[in-house]
Amino acid sequence: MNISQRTVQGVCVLDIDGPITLGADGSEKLGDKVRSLLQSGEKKVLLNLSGVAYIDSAGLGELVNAFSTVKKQGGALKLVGVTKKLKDLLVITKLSTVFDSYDTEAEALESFPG
Amino acid sequence: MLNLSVADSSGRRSVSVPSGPFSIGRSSDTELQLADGRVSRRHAELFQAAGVWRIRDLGSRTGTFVNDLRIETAELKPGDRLRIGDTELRVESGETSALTSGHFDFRQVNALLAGLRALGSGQVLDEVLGIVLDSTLELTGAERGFILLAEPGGQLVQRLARGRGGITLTSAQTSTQIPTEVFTTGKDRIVSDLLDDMHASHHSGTLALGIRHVLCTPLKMGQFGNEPASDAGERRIGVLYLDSREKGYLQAAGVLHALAAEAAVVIENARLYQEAVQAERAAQELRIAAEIQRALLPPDHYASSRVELVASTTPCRSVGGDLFDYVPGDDGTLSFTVADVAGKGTSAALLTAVVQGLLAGESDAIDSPAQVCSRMNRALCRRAVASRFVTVFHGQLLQNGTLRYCNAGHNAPFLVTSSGFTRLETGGTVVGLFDFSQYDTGDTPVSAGDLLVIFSDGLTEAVNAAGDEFEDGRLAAVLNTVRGRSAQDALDAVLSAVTDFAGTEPPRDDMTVMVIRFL
Repeated sequence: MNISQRTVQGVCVLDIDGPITLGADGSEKLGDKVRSLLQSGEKKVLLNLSGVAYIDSAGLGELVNAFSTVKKQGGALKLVGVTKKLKDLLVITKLSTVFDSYDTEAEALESFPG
Repeated sequence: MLNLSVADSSGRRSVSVPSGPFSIGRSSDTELQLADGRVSRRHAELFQAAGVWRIRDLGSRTGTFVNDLRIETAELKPGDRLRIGDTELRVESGETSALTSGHFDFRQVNALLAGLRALGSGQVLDEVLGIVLDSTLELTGAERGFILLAEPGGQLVQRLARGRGGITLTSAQTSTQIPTEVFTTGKDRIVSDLLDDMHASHHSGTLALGIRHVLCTPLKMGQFGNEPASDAGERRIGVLYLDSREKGYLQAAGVLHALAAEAAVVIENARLYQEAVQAERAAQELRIAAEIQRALLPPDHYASSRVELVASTTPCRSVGGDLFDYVPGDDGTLSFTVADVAGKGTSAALLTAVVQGLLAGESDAIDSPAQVCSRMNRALCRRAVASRFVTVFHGQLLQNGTLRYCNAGHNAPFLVTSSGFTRLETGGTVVGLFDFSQYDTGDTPVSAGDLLVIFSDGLTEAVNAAGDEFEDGRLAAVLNTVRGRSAQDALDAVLSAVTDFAGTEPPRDDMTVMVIRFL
């Protein structure tokens, strides 16, 4: 899994490429990245998951953990580019109600409070 | 080889004389240097003539005495007392076959190794290192011996240090530089006098002990007992390092090569064996954990006047993160649960056991399924393990025939009725993540002959060789064929369908299926 970072309209966008799975250099990297963003004062985080073909339960746990961490610091973490596979998983686990998920980056960026 | 016991101002010690001529005197270029002002610079020498050890005076000022008789030359026998200056030397033994044959007999070590294996000892390596060092010290007469073995990363770690008489030295150190150099080059390093060595400053700690003579040879796996023509194909596992205040043993280098070659094989065998024992022990612990986990599950079938229940769970590793449970309550309620802990293997299994503990008390209908899930959620959040969650399907078949349930983020079970399917989705999100999660109870009427099929995602996400998943669609197709059949028939049909589908693809997740037929 690779994470690249860019800033658009004051929102920190993380483009994630590759599966988010247990162990395989994956899930903890995301948590570490989000924690370092919070430390540097970023409060608006958008995860672009269009490059994530597969996510297992541990990866999902890490995604939720990242969400909770940001929320606790008074920030917001949202999703864009959720693949069908992940969408199904979010529906089954009923976590789709927890995450704000958008179809396009423009919509997602608009949704963050100015 | 001749062994001499020497008592001079630097103490009593034992000196091995591998071959002659072997000079004794006050000068540092003699083989045995005596700290004794009445000893001449080159006082006497030991030599062999026709296989017999003899001593010859080299024109010393104070003379050479054997058993108190001043001699020019004399034959030496075990027990003879030599006096050189004020120093007494005793001849301890004559030839030993090991050294003259140039071959050390490790048969006893191999026999011991076999014995230790039979006992299943995990200490094989330590035992073998001890034997190798003790044998080496005995053969060479060196005062201290060290074995340093290479770690997987390549750095040398001191594994054992011994003094004569099998004494383990706990704080002794080798020179820092010599072992690394020998290990890197694969070549012996013999320093006959550390004071003369260009790196004397590195040896200050060793020099302070009066240690001046060092022999270090690589332990390598290669052509047995021979010097390989090239470095190609040889594998170094560490070094054997000997040091002493005397330099007599240095001449035993040729013998040491034979010894080091055999020792390397024995040490490597012991190391491989020890690793195998440890791996076996870990596997054994996992087997025990798996047995405990199976024992924590209820029997995989249950029948009463109202239901027939069968279940199957297959961890993809030794232990798993799936569980099923059911409890017939005193009030006629049957409660049942299928849960899936995120992740696989040991860590998931531990959390599974926690969930089983939380479920153990939920055997009656005092609390609704939503309350049960809610309580489980709060309990798991209090014991929060970051990023770990559990999907739960908890159902209760009440005395009056109503089925009520709460689905906490679990794959929706199929209720197979005479006319079609109902998916049981009401509930809430997974448990263990948010302490504010809310849960609802769903209820549905059930009729005699209906089948409830509860499963974990390991079933619908089973993958075939083409990378396709089994998915809800294939499961539904199988369930259409078992309508009206027994719970066992339905379970067998589902499991054989997924097994056929996956073919030779190994399972990637734990797989659990519970089927309940209402009577």
